[in-house]
Amino acid sequence: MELIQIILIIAGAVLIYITRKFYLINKLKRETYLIFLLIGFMLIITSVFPQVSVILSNLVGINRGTDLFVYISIIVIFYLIISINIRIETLEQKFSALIEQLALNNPETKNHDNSKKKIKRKQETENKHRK
Amino acid sequence: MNLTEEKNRDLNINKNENTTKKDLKIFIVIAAYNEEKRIGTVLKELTKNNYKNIIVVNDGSKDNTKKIALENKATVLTHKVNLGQGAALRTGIKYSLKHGADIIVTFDGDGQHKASEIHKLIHPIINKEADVTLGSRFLEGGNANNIPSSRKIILKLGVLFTRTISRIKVTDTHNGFRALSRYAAEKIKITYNGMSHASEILDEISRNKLRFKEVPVTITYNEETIKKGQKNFKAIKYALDMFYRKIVNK
Repeated sequence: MELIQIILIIAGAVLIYITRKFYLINKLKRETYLIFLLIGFMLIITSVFPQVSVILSNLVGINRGTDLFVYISIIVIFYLIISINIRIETLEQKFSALIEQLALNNPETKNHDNSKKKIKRKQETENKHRK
Repeated sequence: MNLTEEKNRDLNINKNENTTKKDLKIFIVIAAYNEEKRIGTVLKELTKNNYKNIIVVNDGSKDNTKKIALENKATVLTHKVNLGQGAALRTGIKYSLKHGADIIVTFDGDGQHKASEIHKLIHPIINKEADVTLGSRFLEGGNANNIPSSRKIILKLGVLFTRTISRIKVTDTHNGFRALSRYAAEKIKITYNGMSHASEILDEISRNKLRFKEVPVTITYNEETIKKGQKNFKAIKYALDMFYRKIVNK
Protein backbone atom coordinates (compact mmCIF):
# COMPACT_ATOMS: atom_id res chain seq x y z
CA MET A 1 0.00 0.00 0.00
CA GLU A 2 1.32 3.44 -1.00
CA LEU A 3 1.73 6.28 1.53
CA ILE A 4 -0.93 8.42 -0.21
CA GLN A 5 -3.46 5.61 0.21
CA ILE A 6 -2.79 5.51 3.98
CA ILE A 7 -3.12 9.34 4.20
CA LEU A 8 -6.43 9.26 2.30
CA ILE A 9 -7.80 6.47 4.50
CA ILE A 10 -6.93 8.45 7.63
CA ALA A 11 -8.42 11.63 6.09
CA GLY A 12 -11.65 9.76 5.27
CA ALA A 13 -11.91 8.33 8.77
CA VAL A 14 -11.28 11.75 10.39
CA LEU A 15 -13.89 13.34 8.12
CA ILE A 16 -16.52 10.74 9.08
CA TYR A 17 -15.66 11.08 12.78
CA ILE A 18 -15.83 14.90 12.82
CA THR A 19 -19.03 15.21 10.78
CA ARG A 20 -20.76 12.55 12.90
CA LYS A 21 -19.72 14.39 16.07
CA PHE A 22 -21.12 17.71 14.77
CA TYR A 23 -24.30 16.03 13.50
CA LEU A 24 -24.98 14.40 16.86
CA ILE A 25 -24.82 17.76 18.67
CA ASN A 26 -27.14 19.30 16.03
CA LYS A 27 -24.51 21.56 14.52
CA LEU A 28 -24.83 20.11 11.05
CA LYS A 29 -27.81 19.74 8.75
CA ARG A 30 -28.84 16.21 7.74
CA GLU A 31 -28.11 16.84 4.02
CA THR A 32 -24.64 18.26 4.71
CA TYR A 33 -23.91 15.36 7.07
CA LEU A 34 -24.88 12.82 4.40
CA ILE A 35 -22.72 14.55 1.77
CA PHE A 36 -19.64 14.53 4.02
CA LEU A 37 -20.33 10.93 5.08
CA LEU A 38 -20.46 9.89 1.42
CA ILE A 39 -17.20 11.73 0.68
CA GLY A 40 -15.50 10.09 3.67
CA PHE A 41 -16.57 6.58 2.68
CA MET A 42 -15.68 7.17 -0.95
CA LEU A 43 -12.19 8.30 0.11
CA ILE A 44 -11.66 5.11 2.12
CA ILE A 45 -13.14 2.75 -0.50
CA THR A 46 -11.22 4.25 -3.43
CA SER A 47 -7.98 4.28 -1.42
CA VAL A 48 -8.29 0.60 -0.51
CA PHE A 49 -9.60 -0.40 -3.96
CA PRO A 50 -8.21 2.16 -6.46
CA GLN A 51 -9.87 0.34 -9.37
CA VAL A 52 -13.31 1.44 -8.01
CA SER A 53 -12.57 5.07 -8.90
CA VAL A 54 -11.61 4.03 -12.44
CA ILE A 55 -14.87 2.05 -12.83
CA LEU A 56 -16.92 4.97 -11.47
CA SER A 57 -15.19 7.57 -13.68
CA ASN A 58 -15.63 5.38 -16.77
CA LEU A 59 -19.32 5.08 -15.91
CA VAL A 60 -19.77 8.87 -16.17
CA GLY A 61 -17.47 9.21 -19.18
CA ILE A 62 -14.31 10.50 -17.47
CA ASN A 63 -11.01 8.76 -18.20
CA ARG A 64 -9.14 9.15 -14.92
CA GLY A 65 -10.39 8.45 -11.39
CA THR A 66 -8.60 11.50 -9.95
CA ASP A 67 -10.40 13.77 -12.45
CA LEU A 68 -13.72 12.48 -11.16
CA PHE A 69 -12.67 13.47 -7.63
CA VAL A 70 -11.63 16.94 -8.75
CA TYR A 71 -15.01 17.50 -10.47
CA ILE A 72 -16.96 16.23 -7.47
CA SER A 73 -14.87 18.41 -5.12
CA ILE A 74 -15.62 21.52 -7.19
CA ILE A 75 -19.37 20.80 -7.07
CA VAL A 76 -19.27 20.20 -3.30
CA ILE A 77 -17.24 23.39 -2.69
CA PHE A 78 -19.73 25.42 -4.77
CA TYR A 79 -22.64 23.97 -2.82
CA LEU A 80 -20.94 24.83 0.47
CA ILE A 81 -20.09 28.37 -0.58
CA ILE A 82 -23.67 29.07 -1.69
CA SER A 83 -25.23 27.56 1.45
CA ILE A 84 -22.81 29.49 3.70
CA ASN A 85 -23.63 32.69 1.78
CA ILE A 86 -27.36 32.17 2.24
CA ARG A 87 -26.87 31.50 5.95
CA ILE A 88 -24.77 34.64 6.41
CA GLU A 89 -27.32 36.76 4.56
CA THR A 90 -30.18 35.40 6.69
CA LEU A 91 -28.23 36.08 9.87
CA GLU A 92 -27.36 39.58 8.65
CA GLN A 93 -31.03 40.32 8.02
CA LYS A 94 -32.03 39.12 11.50
CA PHE A 95 -29.20 41.08 13.07
CA SER A 96 -30.14 44.28 11.20
CA ALA A 97 -33.79 43.92 12.22
CA LEU A 98 -32.74 43.61 15.85
CA ILE A 99 -30.45 46.66 15.75
CA GLU A 100 -33.15 48.68 13.97
CA GLN A 101 -35.81 47.72 16.49
CA LEU A 102 -33.53 48.73 19.35
CA ALA A 103 -32.96 52.11 17.69
CA LEU A 104 -36.69 52.64 17.05
CA ASN A 105 -37.56 51.76 20.65
CA ASN A 106 -35.10 54.28 22.07
CA PRO A 107 -35.40 57.63 20.29
CA GLU A 108 -33.45 60.36 22.04
CA THR A 109 -33.95 64.11 22.09
CA LYS A 110 -32.41 66.80 24.21
CA ASN A 111 -35.88 67.62 25.65
CA HIS A 112 -36.47 63.96 26.31
CA ASP A 113 -33.27 63.83 28.32
CA ASN A 114 -34.30 66.94 30.25
CA SER A 115 -37.73 65.49 30.98
CA LYS A 116 -36.05 62.37 32.36
CA LYS A 117 -33.95 64.55 34.65
CA LYS A 118 -37.07 66.49 35.70
CA ILE A 119 -38.86 63.25 36.60
CA LYS A 120 -35.83 62.16 38.65
CA ARG A 121 -35.72 65.49 40.46
CA LYS A 122 -39.48 65.29 41.14
CA GLN A 123 -39.10 61.81 42.57
CA GLU A 124 -36.21 62.94 44.75
CA THR A 125 -38.14 65.90 46.18
CA GLU A 126 -41.18 63.66 46.79
CA ASN A 127 -39.01 61.20 48.66
CA LYS A 128 -37.57 64.04 50.76
CA HIS A 129 -41.08 65.23 51.66
CA ARG A 130 -42.09 61.73 52.65
CA LYS A 131 -39.10 61.45 54.96
CA MET B 1 -53.70 50.69 -9.68
CA ASN B 2 -57.20 50.50 -8.20
CA LEU B 3 -59.35 53.47 -7.19
CA THR B 4 -58.81 53.16 -3.43
CA GLU B 5 -55.08 53.11 -3.87
CA GLU B 6 -55.23 56.19 -6.07
CA LYS B 7 -57.35 57.92 -3.40
CA ASN B 8 -54.83 56.98 -0.67
CA ARG B 9 -52.01 58.44 -2.73
CA ASP B 10 -53.70 61.86 -2.68
CA LEU B 11 -55.12 61.75 0.84
CA ASN B 12 -51.73 61.02 2.29
CA ILE B 13 -50.23 64.14 0.95
CA ASN B 14 -52.77 66.81 0.08
CA LYS B 15 -55.30 67.07 2.83
CA ASN B 16 -57.16 69.76 0.97
CA GLU B 17 -56.77 71.84 -2.14
CA ASN B 18 -54.94 74.67 -0.37
CA THR B 19 -52.37 72.59 1.46
CA THR B 20 -49.12 74.46 1.99
CA LYS B 21 -45.70 73.47 3.29
CA LYS B 22 -46.73 74.63 6.77
CA ASP B 23 -49.65 72.17 6.96
CA LEU B 24 -47.47 69.20 6.19
CA LYS B 25 -45.29 67.18 8.47
CA ILE B 26 -41.92 67.18 6.73
CA PHE B 27 -39.33 64.83 8.20
CA ILE B 28 -35.65 65.11 7.35
CA VAL B 29 -33.80 61.80 7.72
CA ILE B 30 -30.01 61.92 8.02
CA ALA B 31 -27.87 58.81 8.14
CA ALA B 32 -24.72 59.69 10.07
CA TYR B 33 -21.55 57.74 10.71
CA ASN B 34 -18.67 59.54 12.43
CA GLU B 35 -19.87 62.97 11.31
CA GLU B 36 -18.98 65.03 14.39
CA LYS B 37 -17.06 67.58 12.32
CA ARG B 38 -19.87 68.29 9.86
CA ILE B 39 -23.24 67.32 11.37
CA GLY B 40 -23.51 70.42 13.57
CA THR B 41 -23.36 72.82 10.62
CA VAL B 42 -25.81 70.67 8.63
CA LEU B 43 -28.35 70.66 11.47
CA LYS B 44 -27.98 74.39 12.10
CA GLU B 45 -28.63 75.02 8.41
CA LEU B 46 -31.76 72.85 8.51
CA THR B 47 -33.09 74.59 11.64
CA LYS B 48 -32.40 77.96 10.03
CA ASN B 49 -34.62 76.85 7.14
CA ASN B 50 -37.44 76.03 9.61
CA TYR B 51 -37.31 72.25 9.46
CA LYS B 52 -38.31 70.93 12.85
CA ASN B 53 -38.63 67.18 12.45
CA ILE B 54 -35.01 66.21 11.96
CA ILE B 55 -34.12 62.56 12.51
CA VAL B 56 -30.46 61.66 12.76
CA VAL B 57 -29.77 57.95 12.59
CA ASN B 58 -26.47 57.58 14.36
CA ASP B 59 -25.17 54.49 12.60
CA GLY B 60 -22.72 53.11 15.17
CA SER B 61 -20.56 56.25 15.27
CA LYS B 62 -17.52 56.13 17.52
CA ASP B 63 -17.22 59.90 17.86
CA ASN B 64 -19.48 62.67 19.22
CA THR B 65 -22.04 62.60 16.38
CA LYS B 66 -24.88 61.72 18.75
CA LYS B 67 -24.00 64.42 21.30
CA ILE B 68 -23.76 67.13 18.64
CA ALA B 69 -27.02 66.01 17.00
CA LEU B 70 -28.84 66.15 20.35
CA GLU B 71 -27.39 69.61 21.06
CA ASN B 72 -28.81 70.75 17.72
CA LYS B 73 -32.37 69.67 18.57
CA ALA B 74 -32.46 66.58 16.39
CA THR B 75 -34.13 63.31 17.34
CA VAL B 76 -31.43 60.67 17.45
CA LEU B 77 -31.95 56.98 16.74
CA THR B 78 -28.85 54.96 17.50
CA HIS B 79 -27.72 51.80 15.75
CA LYS B 80 -25.48 50.09 18.30
CA VAL B 81 -23.28 48.83 15.49
CA ASN B 82 -22.56 50.26 12.05
CA LEU B 83 -24.97 48.70 9.52
CA GLY B 84 -24.62 51.04 6.57
CA GLN B 85 -26.45 53.96 4.98
CA GLY B 86 -29.28 51.84 3.57
CA ALA B 87 -30.14 50.41 6.99
CA ALA B 88 -29.89 53.83 8.62
CA LEU B 89 -32.33 55.34 6.10
CA ARG B 90 -34.69 52.38 6.56
CA THR B 91 -34.76 53.03 10.33
CA GLY B 92 -35.24 56.77 9.84
CA ILE B 93 -38.06 56.29 7.32
CA LYS B 94 -39.83 53.75 9.57
CA TYR B 95 -39.65 56.19 12.49
CA SER B 96 -40.92 59.08 10.36
CA LEU B 97 -43.87 57.06 9.07
CA LYS B 98 -44.73 55.99 12.61
CA HIS B 99 -44.79 59.65 13.65
CA GLY B 100 -47.11 60.79 10.90
CA ALA B 101 -44.72 62.15 8.25
CA ASP B 102 -46.38 63.46 5.08
CA ILE B 103 -43.10 63.96 3.25
CA ILE B 104 -39.73 62.38 4.06
CA VAL B 105 -36.52 63.98 2.79
CA THR B 106 -33.29 61.98 2.85
CA PHE B 107 -30.34 64.26 3.41
CA ASP B 108 -26.60 63.71 3.79
CA GLY B 109 -24.93 64.48 7.08
CA ASP B 110 -21.63 65.61 5.58
CA GLY B 111 -22.69 68.98 4.23
CA GLN B 112 -22.86 67.98 0.57
CA HIS B 113 -26.50 69.02 0.28
CA LYS B 114 -28.09 72.44 0.65
CA ALA B 115 -30.95 72.79 3.13
CA SER B 116 -32.20 75.79 1.15
CA GLU B 117 -32.95 73.47 -1.80
CA ILE B 118 -35.34 71.19 0.11
CA HIS B 119 -38.34 73.37 -0.76
CA LYS B 120 -37.50 72.92 -4.44
CA LEU B 121 -37.37 69.16 -3.96
CA ILE B 122 -40.69 68.81 -2.14
CA HIS B 123 -42.59 71.22 -4.37
CA PRO B 124 -43.61 68.62 -7.02
CA ILE B 125 -44.89 66.30 -4.26
CA ILE B 126 -47.01 69.04 -2.69
CA ASN B 127 -48.34 69.88 -6.14
CA LYS B 128 -49.35 66.23 -6.74
CA GLU B 129 -46.97 66.01 -9.69
CA ALA B 130 -44.85 63.24 -8.20
CA ASP B 131 -44.66 60.63 -5.43
CA VAL B 132 -40.88 60.79 -5.34
CA THR B 133 -38.43 63.52 -6.27
CA LEU B 134 -34.78 62.80 -6.91
CA GLY B 135 -32.05 65.37 -6.67
CA SER B 136 -29.83 65.47 -9.75
CA ARG B 137 -26.46 67.16 -10.00
CA PHE B 138 -26.26 66.52 -13.73
CA LEU B 139 -29.60 67.98 -14.76
CA GLU B 140 -29.65 71.47 -16.26
CA GLY B 141 -29.58 73.89 -13.36
CA GLY B 142 -27.92 71.33 -11.08
CA ASN B 143 -24.32 71.54 -10.01
CA ALA B 144 -21.56 69.33 -8.67
CA ASN B 145 -18.97 71.62 -7.12
CA ASN B 146 -15.39 70.29 -7.01
CA ILE B 147 -16.39 66.83 -8.21
CA PRO B 148 -13.32 64.70 -9.06
CA SER B 149 -13.33 63.59 -12.69
CA SER B 150 -12.96 59.91 -11.76
CA ARG B 151 -16.09 60.16 -9.60
CA LYS B 152 -17.95 61.85 -12.43
CA ILE B 153 -17.11 59.00 -14.83
CA ILE B 154 -18.18 56.36 -12.29
CA LEU B 155 -21.46 58.18 -11.65
CA LYS B 156 -22.18 58.46 -15.37
CA LEU B 157 -21.52 54.73 -15.78
CA GLY B 158 -23.85 54.14 -12.83
CA VAL B 159 -26.58 56.08 -14.66
CA LEU B 160 -26.12 53.90 -17.73
CA PHE B 161 -26.20 50.73 -15.64
CA THR B 162 -29.35 51.77 -13.75
CA ARG B 163 -31.12 52.73 -16.95
CA THR B 164 -30.51 49.22 -18.26
CA ILE B 165 -31.14 47.23 -15.07
CA SER B 166 -33.99 49.20 -13.45
CA ARG B 167 -35.44 50.54 -16.70
CA ILE B 168 -35.81 53.98 -15.19
CA LYS B 169 -34.63 57.11 -16.98
CA VAL B 170 -32.61 59.21 -14.57
CA THR B 171 -29.64 61.51 -14.96
CA ASP B 172 -28.13 60.84 -11.52
CA THR B 173 -28.19 57.58 -9.57
CA HIS B 174 -26.23 57.73 -6.34
CA ASN B 175 -27.58 61.02 -5.09
CA GLY B 176 -28.78 60.82 -1.48
CA PHE B 177 -30.86 64.00 -1.75
CA ARG B 178 -34.43 62.83 -2.40
CA ALA B 179 -37.97 63.34 -1.14
CA LEU B 180 -40.68 60.72 -0.71
CA SER B 181 -44.37 61.23 -0.18
CA ARG B 182 -45.87 59.11 2.59
CA TYR B 183 -47.43 56.90 -0.07
CA ALA B 184 -44.06 56.30 -1.74
CA ALA B 185 -42.23 55.75 1.56
CA GLU B 186 -44.74 53.05 2.47
CA LYS B 187 -44.27 51.36 -0.90
CA ILE B 188 -40.48 51.47 -1.18
CA LYS B 189 -38.76 48.60 0.60
CA ILE B 190 -35.04 49.03 1.22
CA THR B 191 -33.35 45.68 1.79
CA TYR B 192 -29.72 46.60 1.17
CA ASN B 193 -27.89 47.80 4.26
CA GLY B 194 -25.04 49.39 2.35
CA MET B 195 -24.71 51.90 -0.46
CA SER B 196 -26.52 49.70 -3.01
CA HIS B 197 -29.78 51.00 -1.49
CA ALA B 198 -29.54 53.99 -3.86
CA SER B 199 -29.97 51.75 -6.90
CA GLU B 200 -32.56 49.69 -5.05
CA ILE B 201 -34.73 52.77 -4.42
CA LEU B 202 -34.74 53.48 -8.17
CA ASP B 203 -35.64 49.86 -8.77
CA GLU B 204 -38.50 50.12 -6.28
CA ILE B 205 -39.80 53.30 -7.92
CA SER B 206 -39.94 51.43 -11.21
CA ARG B 207 -41.44 48.25 -9.68
CA ASN B 208 -44.18 50.13 -7.78
CA LYS B 209 -44.87 52.40 -10.77
CA LEU B 210 -44.38 55.51 -8.64
CA ARG B 211 -44.47 58.91 -10.28
CA PHE B 212 -41.04 60.48 -10.01
CA LYS B 213 -39.42 63.71 -10.99
CA GLU B 214 -35.81 64.80 -11.04
CA VAL B 215 -34.97 68.16 -9.56
CA PRO B 216 -31.66 69.95 -10.20
CA VAL B 217 -29.65 70.32 -6.99
CA THR B 218 -26.18 71.42 -5.97
CA ILE B 219 -23.77 68.92 -4.46
CA THR B 220 -20.66 70.34 -2.88
CA TYR B 221 -17.58 68.17 -2.56
CA ASN B 222 -14.64 68.96 -0.36
CA GLU B 223 -11.50 67.01 0.55
CA GLU B 224 -13.05 65.45 3.63
CA THR B 225 -16.26 64.30 1.97
CA ILE B 226 -14.33 62.81 -0.94
CA LYS B 227 -12.06 60.93 1.46
CA LYS B 228 -14.99 59.69 3.53
CA GLY B 229 -17.33 59.01 0.62
CA GLN B 230 -17.73 55.94 -1.57
CA LYS B 231 -14.59 54.50 -3.08
CA ASN B 232 -14.73 54.30 -6.86
CA PHE B 233 -13.86 50.58 -6.99
CA LYS B 234 -16.84 49.83 -4.75
CA ALA B 235 -19.10 50.85 -7.64
CA ILE B 236 -18.31 47.48 -9.22
CA LYS B 237 -19.47 45.73 -6.04
CA TYR B 238 -22.75 47.67 -6.03
CA ALA B 239 -23.34 46.83 -9.67
CA LEU B 240 -22.67 43.15 -9.02
CA ASP B 241 -24.98 43.23 -5.98
CA MET B 242 -27.84 44.61 -8.08
CA PHE B 243 -27.16 42.21 -10.89
CA TYR B 244 -27.10 39.20 -8.52
CA ARG B 245 -30.37 40.26 -6.88
CA LYS B 246 -32.00 40.72 -10.27
CA ILE B 247 -31.07 37.19 -11.29
CA VAL B 248 -32.06 35.64 -7.93
CA ASN B 249 -35.39 37.52 -7.80
CA LYS B 250 -36.27 36.41 -11.28
